[in-house]
Amino acid sequence: MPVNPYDYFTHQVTSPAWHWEIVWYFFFAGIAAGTYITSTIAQLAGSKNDLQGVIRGYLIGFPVILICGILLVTDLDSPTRFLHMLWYPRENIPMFKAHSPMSVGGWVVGLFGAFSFIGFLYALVKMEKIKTPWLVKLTSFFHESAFSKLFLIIGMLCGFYLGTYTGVLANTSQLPGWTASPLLPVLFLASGMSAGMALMLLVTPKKSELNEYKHKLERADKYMVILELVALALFLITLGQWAGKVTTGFYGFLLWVGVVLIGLLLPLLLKWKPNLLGHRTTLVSSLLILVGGYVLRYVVIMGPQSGYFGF
Amino acid sequence: MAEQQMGMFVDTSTCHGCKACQVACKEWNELPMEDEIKFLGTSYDNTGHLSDTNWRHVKFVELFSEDRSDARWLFLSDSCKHCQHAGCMEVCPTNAIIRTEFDTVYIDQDTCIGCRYCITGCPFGVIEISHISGTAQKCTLCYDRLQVGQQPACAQACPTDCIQFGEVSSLMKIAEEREVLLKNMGHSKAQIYGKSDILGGLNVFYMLTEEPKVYGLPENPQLPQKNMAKSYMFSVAGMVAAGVLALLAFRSKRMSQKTDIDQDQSHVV
Ligand code: SF4
Ligand code: SF4
Repeated sequence: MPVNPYDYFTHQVTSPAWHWEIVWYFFFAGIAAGTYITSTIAQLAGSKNDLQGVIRGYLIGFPVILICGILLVTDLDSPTRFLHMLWYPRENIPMFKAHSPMSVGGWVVGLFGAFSFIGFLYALVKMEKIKTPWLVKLTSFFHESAFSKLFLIIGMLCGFYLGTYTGVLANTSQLPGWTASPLLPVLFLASGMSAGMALMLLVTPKKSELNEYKHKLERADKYMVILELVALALFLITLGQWAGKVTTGFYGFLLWVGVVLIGLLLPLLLKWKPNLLGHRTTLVSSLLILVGGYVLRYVVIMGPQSGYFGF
Repeated sequence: MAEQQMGMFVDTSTCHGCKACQVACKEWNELPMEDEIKFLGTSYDNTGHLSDTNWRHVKFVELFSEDRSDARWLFLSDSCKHCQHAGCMEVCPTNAIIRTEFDTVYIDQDTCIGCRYCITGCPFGVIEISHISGTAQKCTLCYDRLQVGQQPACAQACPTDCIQFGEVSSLMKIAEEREVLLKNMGHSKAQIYGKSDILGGLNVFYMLTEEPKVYGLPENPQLPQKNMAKSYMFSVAGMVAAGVLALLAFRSKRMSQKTDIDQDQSHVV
């Protein structure tokens, strides 16, 4: 008697029903990480002239991670208890579980907040918006002294964790479409970096002394879009039988049109042919990358949840 | 290790689907009805799944022959399995999921923040968040009753003794004898689901008369952490790739800097 018309399998796994707050959080976390990593790399390896542009990158990370924090808290079903993530009230000790990516992620969001806050102040000091002597001293200690290299590298590593752990979070679950491919963190990182760089291009003013920096940023963004394309292809291959969750139907449409065409191929074309849209090329390609970055997260978070109880 | 390892043996071969356990659980734990009473359209089972308000659920599995001339019903009184290696507990970022002195898995309602991560960690789809409490909910194995020496409400209500409560090792002996008996009676597929090969052992384990997948039970459930090392490894590879590419784009090429600037001005407007 082999036929069981009641497919219990799909009922057995329950979806966490992560909704729009988490999609936006994953998107903004990618941007915060992308802008900070790019700024630190540019400060460490770029030329002196790049610094003018780099400081504008530092202006983005902190406000964006603040939005992330708000989204994270409001998404909780008991938001007033959000501190339990960092503090265990039963024993009055810090709450840290190395084998729970969400627990580590909670700490890294806080730590990244501190690094990006100092970067933010540094940018304001450099732009002469802050002139308080001790703040000037403090920020230049962290960003310009002999110790600054170590500071920037640790901050960058925090950014890298922030940019990838959302993928690890989904990987450590029971939803087949989230666990099948270990490339999810790489995909999220590449997309976060390219979206971050796109945003940095948008906030870089048109000054001839920034042309070299802008050129480098465009080039870096192009590399990230290519990395994202490769990561996406490998992700879809490694999804195996679960690829249909994101490649067909409504989510499939969003993936092929919203992510591949609008978010990756068109911007890549514009980066290869920078004169195609005249002076609007950078603006258009950056906006397309940002839209694609959001849609990618929407597809990857929502698609695999569809069809399971709870969603 | 807990003081006692208490659990349940659910013998599906004697369950006749009366749902007395489901009702007893609702009554004792004061779990509300769901908003609407629905017919699933695919089964006589009208509950469908475990949830924040259904901590116990009697699954109806209707089996039909190819030509649908013959039918057979299987019943499985389902709940949290109180796993030895509990995925929900592994992932919970707040330590809200704890192991009690009875070796059962319990959600501390005062600590849970409602992040929903445990839902993704359970391979059996047991947990759901309550809209009323804003916290994760599932079977507690009637922790309050255990503390005063009583058995869980479902086990007490079961009219066929299909749900037996007690020390896991003694229950396992009963189950093994039962398995032999069922096989002798012609149930060739009779098997215990929840020995140490399944997540280190389930404190609430089952006697099945068909393959686990027929009941919607995963054949080889895994801890969600199984993927973590590989996932972190790829993360590091991604970091190196992204880092090197950004570095290539930004490094100061003193020799070629001038060319860069020239190119730049011709390209970027
Ligand atoms: S069955 Fe699910 S909810 Fe129950 S202990 Fe195991 S993992 Fe946790
Ligand atoms: S919802 Fe509650 S029990 Fe579940 S993982 Fe989050 S804090 Fe832990």
